[in-house]
Amino acid sequence: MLTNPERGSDEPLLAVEGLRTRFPTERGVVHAVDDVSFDLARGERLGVVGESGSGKSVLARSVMRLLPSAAWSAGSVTFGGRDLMQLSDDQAREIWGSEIAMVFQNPMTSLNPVMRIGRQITESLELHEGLQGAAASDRAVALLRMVGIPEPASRLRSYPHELSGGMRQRVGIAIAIACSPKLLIADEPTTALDVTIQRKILDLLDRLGRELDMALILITHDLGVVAGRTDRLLVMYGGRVVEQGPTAALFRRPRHPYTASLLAAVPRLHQPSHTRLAAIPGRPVDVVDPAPGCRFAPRCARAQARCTEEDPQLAPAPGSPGHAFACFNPVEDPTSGSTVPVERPRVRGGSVDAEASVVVS
Amino acid sequence: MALPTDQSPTVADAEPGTTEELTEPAVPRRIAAVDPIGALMQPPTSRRSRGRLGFWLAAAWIGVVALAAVFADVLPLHDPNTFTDLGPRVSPGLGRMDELLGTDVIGRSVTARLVYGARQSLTIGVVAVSVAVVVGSTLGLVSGYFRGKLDEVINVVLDSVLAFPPLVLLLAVASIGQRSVTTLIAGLAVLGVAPFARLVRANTLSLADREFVLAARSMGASNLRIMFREILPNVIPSVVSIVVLFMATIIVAEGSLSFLGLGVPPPDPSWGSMVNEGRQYLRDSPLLVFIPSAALLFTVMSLRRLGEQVQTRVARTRSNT
Repeated sequence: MLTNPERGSDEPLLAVEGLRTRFPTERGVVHAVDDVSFDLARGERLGVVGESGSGKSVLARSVMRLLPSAAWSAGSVTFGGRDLMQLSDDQAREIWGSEIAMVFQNPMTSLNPVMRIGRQITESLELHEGLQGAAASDRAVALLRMVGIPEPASRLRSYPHELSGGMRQRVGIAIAIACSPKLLIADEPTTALDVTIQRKILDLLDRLGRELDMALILITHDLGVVAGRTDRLLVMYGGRVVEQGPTAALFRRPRHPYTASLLAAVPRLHQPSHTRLAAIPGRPVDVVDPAPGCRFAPRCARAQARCTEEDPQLAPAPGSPGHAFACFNPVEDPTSGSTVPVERPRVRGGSVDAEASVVVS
Repeated sequence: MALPTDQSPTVADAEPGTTEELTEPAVPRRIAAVDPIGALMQPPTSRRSRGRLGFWLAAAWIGVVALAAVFADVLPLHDPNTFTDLGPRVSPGLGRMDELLGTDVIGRSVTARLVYGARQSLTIGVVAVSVAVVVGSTLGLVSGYFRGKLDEVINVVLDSVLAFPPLVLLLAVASIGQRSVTTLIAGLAVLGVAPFARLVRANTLSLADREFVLAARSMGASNLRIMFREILPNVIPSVVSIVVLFMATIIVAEGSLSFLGLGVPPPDPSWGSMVNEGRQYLRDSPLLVFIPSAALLFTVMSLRRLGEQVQTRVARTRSNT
């Protein structure tokens, strides 16, 4: 468990230790989240990346303790000095919305279709801050203005289906930040939106995080989303964290083969047309009753015998502070003959730049 | 002597000259039998060529019946429970209002009894359906939201009620309590709880997994709040689309019970009991049976027509959102 050294000696806002979540299913026990630990300081932005099925969404819900009753959880999630895992439902409900809030992936389905959006915003205000009537409406208008919805006063009475996707997501964000939570978890907030709106929503989240001094956990499968918008990164595979550290360090010099492959798989505009995409062979692992060993081993070009026998643990990367990875045969140095071709995208101004600084074979 | 208590309205109300698909299977006719649950579960027939005429006729009839029921006291009608000076079994004449439809066996005005009978039927229908909707929806919400043991228990109870032959259930309730309007309403409501509970439960099961429910929980909403503020408003359209159809069923059920002598206690009039009383004089004064039967027929047909319209409208709105 590594903290970001630049943050100094502040007490971390969120400290997750040994978090595990499992679901019993007909096929067996699904190990959705397997021993994840990380810290998050106040106002820090953490990115969680991985394929579908890597456990990122379940991790988010586990942190918030928003799991279905069938789920089994272990570990500790210390938020503001309290362990969320020990709280009763009533106590947790006080925190949800007022201290931790979540923005969901699909704005079409995360808003109640038969309720006006003004009311959906003021519900949260009524519940946690006791605002009623005109005071609540005024706050709702201010929130809508803050998230960039034009003519907010008249929009209060709109239904969700009267808004476009981007606007609905803004409303979802407004609902989430209504009570100025200290931590906002955004679960793939832009996946359902088109690219131009994606950028605006991400800029909005950036701005809100700064203005409200809000920590942000940004969950996505899109590396372009986290580049330049997160301070630290967690790369997940098969329910485990395979690499974590400062975003720039991970992009510049990934150590885990999975991270390297993810970066290599991003198509580059400067490549000649019909260039084969460097896809990762195989399919995401099925985490039902998993076998011992590294979860990525079946798909890894650098797998050795040891990889299928022992579980690799997170270990610090030498020469890169705050950076850790879990691999027995890491990518040593992108410029020296690794079997996984890695291009280093230049991280510039909030998006993965099309040009690579060096093309490696 | 087939009574219009059978629940196959497409056979009963086909207008000449129109073609429509009979999507409802022919329900075997059971004399004086009531199958409200079975009728409820059948899908509406499609009426593309029928158009608006049927709808407006139905609406007009229901409007007339409702107005008559509400303003019965104001109309120039004799007391429906005492005989008039016209004498017994008088044919309809165009004298006063009491004479319009003739008099019955004892000399009571058929018009008055019809109008007050309408009030009885509608009142019983509205109250029974309201109780059934409220109780059924609550049961359905609770069982669909919390699931688990509670759901299993409620399901067993609902299945038992649904498995009971409806008429037998009504007879049982009628024989337990004192014969009165209240008992009647209670019995009909008990019959109605199960279909609404099932419907609401099915909707709740699917809605409870939707993301906006999770979003509400992530905002700190309590279970009660989620059930009644988030889920219930989304369930209401389905309930509304069935309510009117169910009213028709209840009115038929009440008519059947009254015909059997177990419904509204005499001398208060009810369309069903009017048919029963006129039965013996069918050969000589057929109108005594025909008039209340026709009233029942038109009312049920109209309610079903209106109900189908509501169902189509609700379905259309949902497919738009």
